[in-house]
Amino acid sequence: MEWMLAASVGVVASCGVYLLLRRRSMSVVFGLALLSYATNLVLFSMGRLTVGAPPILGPEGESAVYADPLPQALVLTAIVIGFAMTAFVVVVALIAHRSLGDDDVDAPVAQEGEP
Amino acid sequence: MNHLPVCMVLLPMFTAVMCLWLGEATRSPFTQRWTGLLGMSLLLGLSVWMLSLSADGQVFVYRLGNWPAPFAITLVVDRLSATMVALTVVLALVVLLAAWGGDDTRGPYFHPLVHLQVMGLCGAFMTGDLFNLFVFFEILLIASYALLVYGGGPARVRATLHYVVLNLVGSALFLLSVGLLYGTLGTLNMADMAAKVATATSADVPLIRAAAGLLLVVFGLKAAIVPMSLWLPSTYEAATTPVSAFFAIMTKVGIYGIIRVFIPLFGPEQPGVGGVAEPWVGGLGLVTLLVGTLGTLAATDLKNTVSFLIVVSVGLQAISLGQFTEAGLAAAIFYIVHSTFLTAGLFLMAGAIIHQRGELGGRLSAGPVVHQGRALAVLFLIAAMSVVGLPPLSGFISKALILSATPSEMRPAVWGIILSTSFLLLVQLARVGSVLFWNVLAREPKGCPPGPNASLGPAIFLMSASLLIALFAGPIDAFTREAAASVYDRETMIERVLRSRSDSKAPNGLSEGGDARVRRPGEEDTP
Repeated sequence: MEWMLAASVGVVASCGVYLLLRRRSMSVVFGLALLSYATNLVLFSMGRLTVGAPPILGPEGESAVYADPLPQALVLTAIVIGFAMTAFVVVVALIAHRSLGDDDVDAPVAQEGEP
Repeated sequence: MNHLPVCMVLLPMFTAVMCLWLGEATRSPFTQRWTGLLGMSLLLGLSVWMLSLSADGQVFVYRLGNWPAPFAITLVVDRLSATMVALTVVLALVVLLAAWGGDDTRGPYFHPLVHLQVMGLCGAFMTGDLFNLFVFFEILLIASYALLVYGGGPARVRATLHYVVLNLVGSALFLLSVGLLYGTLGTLNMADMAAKVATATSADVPLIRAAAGLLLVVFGLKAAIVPMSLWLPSTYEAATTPVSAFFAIMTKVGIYGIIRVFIPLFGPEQPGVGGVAEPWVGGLGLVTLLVGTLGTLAATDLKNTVSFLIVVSVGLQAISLGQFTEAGLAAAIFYIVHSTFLTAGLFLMAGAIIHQRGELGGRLSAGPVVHQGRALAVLFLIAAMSVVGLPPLSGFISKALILSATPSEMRPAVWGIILSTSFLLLVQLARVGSVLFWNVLAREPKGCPPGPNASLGPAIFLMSASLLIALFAGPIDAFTREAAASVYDRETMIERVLRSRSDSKAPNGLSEGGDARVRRPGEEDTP
């Protein structure tokens, strides 16, 4: 189980970094999304991997198996923020494509923008 | 419990919503301006009150929802936090007024965005929780993305795309390190972390060090320390003038993060995990200073020159902070206060000059006679003297403090670089000034909008702060020394923040220490 999670985080993160380093702005956006998925998986696994355990302490106290609820709350926050940021960067990339006439992230600015 | 700290976050949010609502309802810039001004003035009053309270040595520990300390979020306000909040609010007020000249009507949402960014900045400067710091970083960043693209145009859109992508990568790394630190230490409260770092098992130490290194990268990116500083000049150059001026506080957030995390949490004297930042910050600060100076020398545009001066100021802060001594930190805080006003004033002044030169803009070549030339030239002289560090202005005092705080074994290198870059800056700023004000052609500027420039008054106000800081350098220096001492006083801070664990009961009858990894053996938890 653990090697599977670790390997999938690694694969997703490396795909994200690869896409991030490309020139087309949409590839960069997908790269950012993949990178944030990998981060969320890491964050989630920081509560330790448990299967079928309740996120609360039962009557038998801390000796029982339980899932740490805090990383789940953190991941939820991170997903919400990441979603908003991805939406924003998509819009910026679209505007850049429209106003620069090219989806290259380093597209030259044709004429000087107004001061 | 004093509710002042949380008001510093809630009031700007409320004002932003009011600006949005009233702006939409009345569709006039007038309503937005006055609502924004009213809200920001109120916030200024509160922040000055908070600063005066914390100057007496009071440390606010605000527990949201009144949960006991390592659970839920804690806001901690000491002298440094209160200073940074007050700096932010003063700067925001000046920027709002500077935008009244017409920059705030280029798009519909200038005022709400500034207030949202103030909310994020105040929160980031006050929070005592690492994940909450991440959330406030995101709030201030998303407001800054929108402010950067504010005004439109291809150059701004391109700069925004780069800035957004870089900062999203930074956010991913931030989240990663927060996750690693929670996984190893079992807490996110910074005071609790500082206490638990010392007892980390040897298997966890490499992970904690890796997470700390990631955090250093993230804060370095925000602070624009070389090699993560290449985004800064083009970004600040592209932004609208009041926005660039407001962004003068943005690099300070990164420096503040380094102060808060790498002194109490991963400070040099922490066993095992200490010493992550020490080899890097000071040395990279020297490189940043050199790169900034060379960039200033190579710049062919006024706004580009000023942007590189921000890199120079970041370098000086990192050098001073990177000594990791109390005196170094005090000098860094003094420099932060000085350079926030100065660099913001420089941007507003550059905006005023560019405005007067018509379609020539900020290019450093022979141009038409600058209107209001005498006022602007005097202002430029004061600014240049303060940047270079000539007496009697605040630049001189802050640089002298940094030089005197340097430990004697590092003096040859640090003094040599700081003094020689100051000389190079003097040469370049003399060149810029003579091109702008003396190398003039006897013709009227083309495409120059008539009327006085709105950013001139705010620029004069910010520059006069340089004089005031120099006049009251004694008290300010004493204050920054106290602020630095309280940052270094880890034990008192831990005791203050976590004190409630024994004296207040958790709500709903829950016992403390629900998580096995949060609890250490020997703590007085009730079962």
